[in-house]
Amino acid sequence: MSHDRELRKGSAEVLILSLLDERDRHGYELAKLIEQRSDGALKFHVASLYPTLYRLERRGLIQGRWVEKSGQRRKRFYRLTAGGQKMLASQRRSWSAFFSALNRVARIRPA
Amino acid sequence: MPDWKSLIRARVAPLSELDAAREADIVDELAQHVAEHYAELVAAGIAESDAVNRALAPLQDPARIAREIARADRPRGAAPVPPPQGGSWIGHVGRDVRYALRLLRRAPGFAAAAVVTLALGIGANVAIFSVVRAVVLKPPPYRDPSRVVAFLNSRAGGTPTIYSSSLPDYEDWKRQLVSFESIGLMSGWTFNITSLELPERVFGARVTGSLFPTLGTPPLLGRGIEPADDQPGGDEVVVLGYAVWQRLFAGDRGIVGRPVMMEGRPHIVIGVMPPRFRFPMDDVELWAAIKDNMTGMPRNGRFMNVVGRLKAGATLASAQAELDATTAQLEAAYPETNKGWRVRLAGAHEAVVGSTKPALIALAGAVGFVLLIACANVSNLLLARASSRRRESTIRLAVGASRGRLVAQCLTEGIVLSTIGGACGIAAAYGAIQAVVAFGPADIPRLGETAVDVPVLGFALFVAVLAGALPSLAPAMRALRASSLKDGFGDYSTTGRSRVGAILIVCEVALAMTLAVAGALVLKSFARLTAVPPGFNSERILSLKVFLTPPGYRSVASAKQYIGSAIARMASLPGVEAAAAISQLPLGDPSSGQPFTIEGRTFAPGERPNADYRAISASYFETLRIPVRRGRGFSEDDRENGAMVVVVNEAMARRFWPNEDPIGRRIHWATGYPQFDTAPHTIVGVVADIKSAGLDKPERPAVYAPYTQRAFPWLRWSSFVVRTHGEPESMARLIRQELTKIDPLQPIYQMAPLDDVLAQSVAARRFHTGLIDLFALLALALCAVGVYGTIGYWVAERSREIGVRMALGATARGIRTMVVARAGALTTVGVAVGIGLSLVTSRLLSSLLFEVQPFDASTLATASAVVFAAGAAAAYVPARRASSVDPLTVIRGE
Repeated sequence: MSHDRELRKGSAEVLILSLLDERDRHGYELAKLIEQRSDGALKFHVASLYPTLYRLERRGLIQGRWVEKSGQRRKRFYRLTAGGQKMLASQRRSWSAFFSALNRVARIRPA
Repeated sequence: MPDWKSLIRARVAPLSELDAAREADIVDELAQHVAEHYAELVAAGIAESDAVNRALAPLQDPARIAREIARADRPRGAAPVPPPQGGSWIGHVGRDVRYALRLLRRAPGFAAAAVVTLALGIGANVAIFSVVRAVVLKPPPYRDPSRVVAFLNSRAGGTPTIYSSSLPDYEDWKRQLVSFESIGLMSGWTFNITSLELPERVFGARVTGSLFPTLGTPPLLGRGIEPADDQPGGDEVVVLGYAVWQRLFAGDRGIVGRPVMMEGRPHIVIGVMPPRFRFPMDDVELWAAIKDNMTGMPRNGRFMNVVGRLKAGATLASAQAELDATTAQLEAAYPETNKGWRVRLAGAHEAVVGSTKPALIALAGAVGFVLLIACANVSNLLLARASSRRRESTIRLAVGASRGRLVAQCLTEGIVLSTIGGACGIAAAYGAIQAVVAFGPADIPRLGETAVDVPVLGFALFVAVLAGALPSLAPAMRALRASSLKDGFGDYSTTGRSRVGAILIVCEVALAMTLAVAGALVLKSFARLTAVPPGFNSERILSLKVFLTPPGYRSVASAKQYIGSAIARMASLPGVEAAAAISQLPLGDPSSGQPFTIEGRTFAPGERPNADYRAISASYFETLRIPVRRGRGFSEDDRENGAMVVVVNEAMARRFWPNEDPIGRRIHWATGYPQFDTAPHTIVGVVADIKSAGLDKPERPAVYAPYTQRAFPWLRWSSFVVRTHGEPESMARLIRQELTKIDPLQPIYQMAPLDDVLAQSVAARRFHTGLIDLFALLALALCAVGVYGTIGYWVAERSREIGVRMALGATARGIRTMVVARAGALTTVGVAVGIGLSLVTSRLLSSLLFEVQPFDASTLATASAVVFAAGAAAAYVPARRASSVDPLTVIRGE
């Protein structure tokens, strides 16, 4: 449904930023965590996850770096930048206000 | 284990907007994601083939992922769409320009590098062109200036100059020559204007009534001096220059018709000249009629400037032929004064500015080289970008663009860059020109007129178009060879790109080497010149000048009294060690040559020797610490009515008494004035030579006479030198006060430490040496940037090869050596070509050199070492980068 898609588009960034706020992660880990923590409700397609990461990186909200451990394939880890932290805080406030308004009108409570 | 990268590449459309390294990283990251998913599936018990399919399932839509990634990886804003095909050529140009600007906005780093490089090259050329235009190219402000010629006199071995004619010769030319519609004469003259609040000394000229009609410049106000003004009797008249009219008379338009007091007589101001008018050079600020002020001037008093206007139909050659015949007649009629003298005609403007041409040509060549180096650097930058836009070119060809359009697009991009660079360069040149006008040497004529005017802007536009088109040639050639779509998006041959880059670097190094050699030669020359001992001690010496004018100083006696009082008063001041007078300050005044004879020797007519005549006080040699080699200097006993004595310099002793002692010999002046020529002068001493005409000129024979026995009344100017205990300038005010007490109407001028006078004597050389060295450094810096970029690209191209080498055991040091050797090879070829080029260009520099040969082995070696060092330094960072390549990363990328 198109409103689903719009909601997901809008929430993709805050999902990624909040997971990176906990610690540095690579792309596959982010996709897995989002699916696990949402009990399968939210799934990130490769074709949308990586473009979102690159967009966030271009805007300076996250920063990627290659990490190589012996015997393993190199992996690209992302971390939250100071700008990203500000954006995350702002987005959390916006989403929180949004859900409060939804609740007042349509009696929808966030979990 | 599946080859994930190949599988990813097969399922994702080419990421055409990205460069190769970025594309490789993205493929790697996607491969990592898919590999992790696969591993989880296999760990969960899924069969390997199923696990592969499920892991790759999200990559079913190749175009979608490429599109999303390209969109995400692009900066915000729409991707520049290549201009559509079809339409008029103006429409094409407009679209190409807009497209080029969009591309530059997307690559600000590249744009900044290219614009700064071009701004430096174009700005330097605009600045030097504006100087050349002001000094040489702008026509002088005379009517039909190509018809105005100067008379330049010289004897065998001498250099013809503009101040070389005599009044009697001029009068004969005026009477006899028919090739000229008019001939005029001017003699430099110092005026004291005493009708102002404070007396002002102004350097000007006395001219014949025919001079202003010969030049033909209409005045700004009033009229010029006419033949009627030059007759004896009647009002004295003066024409003011624009600068002195503004400075001393506040630009008062009512000045015409009013008198000013000069030389104790009122001179009526009859006109004011326009701002650009100068004759012959910037230092002459006003013109008065000669009238009878120079009556009786002898035929060998050769210090005046004569110009003529050719009649319609006469040519320089025909006039020269007629003048040669007249010169022969005068030589026969006046052998004493005219034998051996030749008179050459030259364009009046050329005669004044001709001596500046060698230096200006050298500077123009230097900035031309800088521009070529800048163009080579930008060409390398454009080539690198062309490689990353190969897919765009291929696609455009596929959708119908002609190769000509691609070439036009390349040229437009280059010209857009150079236009922006040119605008910045013009701004920089404007600033540089202000500095040149403010701090440039005073003896380069018309330097103060340097400005960014319409012709200079036109030149800037021409240079900008050239600087845009030249670097675009290589990428345009690339575009012509763009492959068609059916051949795929193959890489352009990287060896081809490397080869062009290498050739450009060799050219840059050759040009930088040539400039480095030129810079080293002029610097060595300047160092040698300033190391020449002047022959006198100028430490703590304050120099100053007075010009003693009527009515108070018509007689020689009154001038002598002033000088004696001045020396006594100054010497008695606390803070003054010694004071002395000299008629011509060494290195600060032109010399005054006088013919003489030696008792007991005969000279053929016209072969009479000539020596500089210098009237000095007894304290002069001691004040300037000029050693007396033999005999004695002067003392207070050498008075006006005593035995006439002189001291000669070593150059005079060597020339005329090479094997004997000149002490006791006698000379007679041969001025043509009997009252000065009769008395014999006994030589009582020989002093060391000093550099009076210039540090680069040998000392002429000179005769010093005590000013108390001074012979020639028209030498009314006097310089003083005062040795102080402390800083010379600290005594300036006190000294000025003391001299004003003697006569408040005699202005003191050109008061300056003698060290400053010495520095000023080499100011023009310092100026052009400094500029050539600046441009050489600029060229080296640009060349180093070019080497850095080219070697960096070469390293990036070979990162896999380097990784493989290191994996096979090559050390980091070995890799660094390989890179530096590559840079060294290019630099060596460039230096060799540069040495060859500099053998040609150094020849052109020889008139600017002093005691340095154009082919100087040590200079070539030094310049080569500097260029090699710059190349090695530029290659160091790419070499370090190469040696820190991780072989595993590179090999995994295979």
